[in-house]
Amino acid sequence: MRKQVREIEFDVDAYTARLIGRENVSKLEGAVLEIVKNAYDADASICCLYYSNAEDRIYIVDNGCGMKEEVLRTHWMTIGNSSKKNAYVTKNGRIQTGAKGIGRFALDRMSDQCDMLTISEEGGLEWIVDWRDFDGSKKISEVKARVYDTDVRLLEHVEIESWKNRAVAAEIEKCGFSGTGTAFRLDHLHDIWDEKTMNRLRNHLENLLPPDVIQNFRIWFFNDETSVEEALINSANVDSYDYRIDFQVTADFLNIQIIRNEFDFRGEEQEVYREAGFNEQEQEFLQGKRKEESFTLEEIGEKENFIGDFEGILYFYKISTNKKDQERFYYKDITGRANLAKKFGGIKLYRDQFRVRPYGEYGDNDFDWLELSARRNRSPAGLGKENGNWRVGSEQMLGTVSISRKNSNLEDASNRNGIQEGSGFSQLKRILLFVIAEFERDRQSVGRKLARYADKKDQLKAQLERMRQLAEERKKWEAEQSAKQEPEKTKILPPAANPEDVMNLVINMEQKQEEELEELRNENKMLQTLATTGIITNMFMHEIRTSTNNIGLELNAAYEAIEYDNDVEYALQNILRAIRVKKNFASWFGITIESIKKDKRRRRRHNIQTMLEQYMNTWRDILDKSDTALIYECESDIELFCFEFDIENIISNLIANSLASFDREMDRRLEKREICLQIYRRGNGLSMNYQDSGWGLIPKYKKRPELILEPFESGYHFGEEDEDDGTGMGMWIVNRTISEYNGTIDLSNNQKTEMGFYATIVLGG
Amino acid sequence: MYRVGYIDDEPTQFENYRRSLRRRCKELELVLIDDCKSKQDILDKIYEKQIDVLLIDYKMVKNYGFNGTTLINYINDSMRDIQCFIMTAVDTEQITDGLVARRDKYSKSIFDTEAADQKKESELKDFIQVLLECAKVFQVRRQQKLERYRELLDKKHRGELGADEEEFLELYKVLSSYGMVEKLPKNMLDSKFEERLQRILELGNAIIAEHKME
Repeated sequence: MRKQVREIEFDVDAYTARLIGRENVSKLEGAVLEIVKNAYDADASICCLYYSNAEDRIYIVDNGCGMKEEVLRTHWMTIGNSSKKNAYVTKNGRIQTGAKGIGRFALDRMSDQCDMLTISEEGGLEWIVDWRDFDGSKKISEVKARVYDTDVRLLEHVEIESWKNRAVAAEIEKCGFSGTGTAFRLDHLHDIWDEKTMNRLRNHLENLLPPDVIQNFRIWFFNDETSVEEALINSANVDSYDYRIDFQVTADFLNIQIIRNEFDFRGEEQEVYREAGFNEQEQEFLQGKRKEESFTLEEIGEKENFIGDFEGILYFYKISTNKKDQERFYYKDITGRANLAKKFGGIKLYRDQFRVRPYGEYGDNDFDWLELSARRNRSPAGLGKENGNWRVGSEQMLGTVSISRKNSNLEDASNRNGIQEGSGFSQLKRILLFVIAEFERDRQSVGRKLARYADKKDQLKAQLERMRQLAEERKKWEAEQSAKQEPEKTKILPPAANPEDVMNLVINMEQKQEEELEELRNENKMLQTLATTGIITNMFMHEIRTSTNNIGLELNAAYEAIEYDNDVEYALQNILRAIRVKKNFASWFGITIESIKKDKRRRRRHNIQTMLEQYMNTWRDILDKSDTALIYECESDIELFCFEFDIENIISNLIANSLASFDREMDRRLEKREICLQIYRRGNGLSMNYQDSGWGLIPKYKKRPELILEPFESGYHFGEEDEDDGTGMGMWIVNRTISEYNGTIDLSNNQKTEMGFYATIVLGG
Repeated sequence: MYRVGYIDDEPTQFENYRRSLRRRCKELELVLIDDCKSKQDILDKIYEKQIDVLLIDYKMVKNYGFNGTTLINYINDSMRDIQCFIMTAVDTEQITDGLVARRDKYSKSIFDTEAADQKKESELKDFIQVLLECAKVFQVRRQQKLERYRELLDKKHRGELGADEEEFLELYKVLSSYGMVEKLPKNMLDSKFEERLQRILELGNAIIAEHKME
């Protein structure tokens, strides 16, 4: 039976409350950030932080709206309660950045004693707290702060008259602190505020706000010695850059604008444009015109926009280059460039104009939060490389990404260290990486053209040098001949090598070099073939496993039929089925293991029809089992000097992709499974027309199908749980092989059709 | 007897599975769900064949256009209580669409006991126990639904169904599909039916009363 109801309040130990605060603001940088944020959120236009060396005291003053007693009581004094939780837009239209009601613990992080004056429209209040009162075993409700009504002005509270740094004090007096605002005196500081600390904090404050905010919010930060120029914080900015990339995500669209500022053709513009093959539009981009691109989110592989609108500016900023590259790629002179990433940071994230630490913070684990270095390690190709993607280094990419608290799925982590990991943050990173990849593609398209042009020039130069040498030799020879006609003065000839020996030596060396190259080429081919074998095996893993399982199941069923039912007839049927399944394996081996046979690894002149006959029959068998029709035609008179497995690799990878497309789960059943390959003679080479009746390329590649030729391009990235459905190697191998035969691949038909995959490949010729 | 439904676009092993199951558990009967073109066809067959638990092949895109995991999602939208298991030839970890929990995925090779290998036998027996348990749970839940249905039907007759009408219709759909309650003509399911019937009866009574007066 219940008796005498009593309600007991929850309470918290004061020390625990203090610990929670400290957990949230553990670093001095974080504490200073909170103080400045509070000033910004209060609509202040100035925030001033002064460390008095003489007094070992900190003065902070801002000209914001101050706090009324009610706000002081219900919000400032209630831990975890923030006035900014629900109404977060200030009178002046700023979006407030704090919301957790723990920012005031920043003061505790900095000092033991705090004397605050806050002046609102209702008048002034002085609030005094000694954070040490939170120690011991008191309950939080037993810790009291004293509050007085006061008519003291802000600058009186911070005792500006007695500031040792008179020069800065004079500037501050001019700044308009006569009205509302908040001022603090902090004593018994926890940190040593030496020059090192001051410099660290100054660098931090320079990066706190993006450059364009500086007009309506100024930060002064100084000690007794700081000059006026140094005291006013200027936001770190990037004034020189090689590339600037602006981007905006608005609803379901991503817009990108790229500005090239990296190249200087040193008066040779017309010649370079002509010889390197830059068309008129490209020329305009090289002269600084913005290159604008627009994508739907579906086109970049995103199902929907989980996070809302955001934007940013990224800069590509080379720190160093060598003379050879500078000449080859016509780079502008970057002598004397400092590592801006150290001062400016990498790619920084700002929420409503305020820095979200620690992304892009130099020296922090999260400096490279987009994992650009790992990406570069995976694809270390140089800028001019034809087969391989150049990737930007983490210290070469700077910039700002602006999000807002209006964005969904991008909540602050509760320890105020970054954004909560989740689908929103992953999408943000994926979109940024897409923007960066667009820039990389642009830069490499220029780099490849310039590298080809440089190689062409080098060849000409080498030919000229050879001619010059020949002319020299001829002159020498003529001189020798005329000398011979003179009467012999002496029988002694200068020592010389036997020309025949030299010739043989050169030939041998050339042969050896060629052999070594051939060996490397063969090794490379072998690896490509093994990779293709892997892709095909993976493709048929389900079928192979099913067959293996089925053989086991049939044999086991036969055993059980005899053992338990004495049903010999059923057991026999089981065994016959097992034998039929076993036969299927032979076809797969024909495509996989057979492909690396030794005789396929020799380059020789082949009749393509004869060479492919057995191979295509094997494919027909396999495809037949998966109810896929193969229409194959090949002209009889095509002769090509090639490796057998090169041509097979191309076909295998194309078919593997078609089968993956047939097996893609869509909202309806695929009507037809058909692959069509026609091979024609074309000049001295051949042309392959390939098409299938599958679902076609996914939206991500529909607009620019050539992207599938890049390494590691594969499948969907819609959700975090989804894994790529391919290796991203198959079409890259196809492309590499094609370029080894001076060939081309045209995928443009894929842009025009909704269903099916189309490729026209030309080899040799 | 409990009925285990088996859905596979290429059911070459069905007879082997059926025999294997029957040898080890007389209470379970493996039933093939075939000749279907769509998810709805499959659902109708599940009702028609009175299935208590389901085994579904994973890879069915070729013949159906959807995979087993998508089908389970569809079936469970209509029949929350029926337990479905994915059977696959590949590693269960390779099914990454997140539609079915790991514990509900089994390798088809579970039926291969490798000529009475002890470990394999024990794995298959455990699996059969799981099937049996799920089938029993499904039947108990159906029984509970039947009781609730009868309660609601009473209410309906009294014209007091009100907000419970949706639940009544849902229960009717499942239970009548399983033949556990009598199929009613469509107009009888209408919420106004009892009212109209009452009115007709009253009219009839009035006419009879009038005749008696004459």
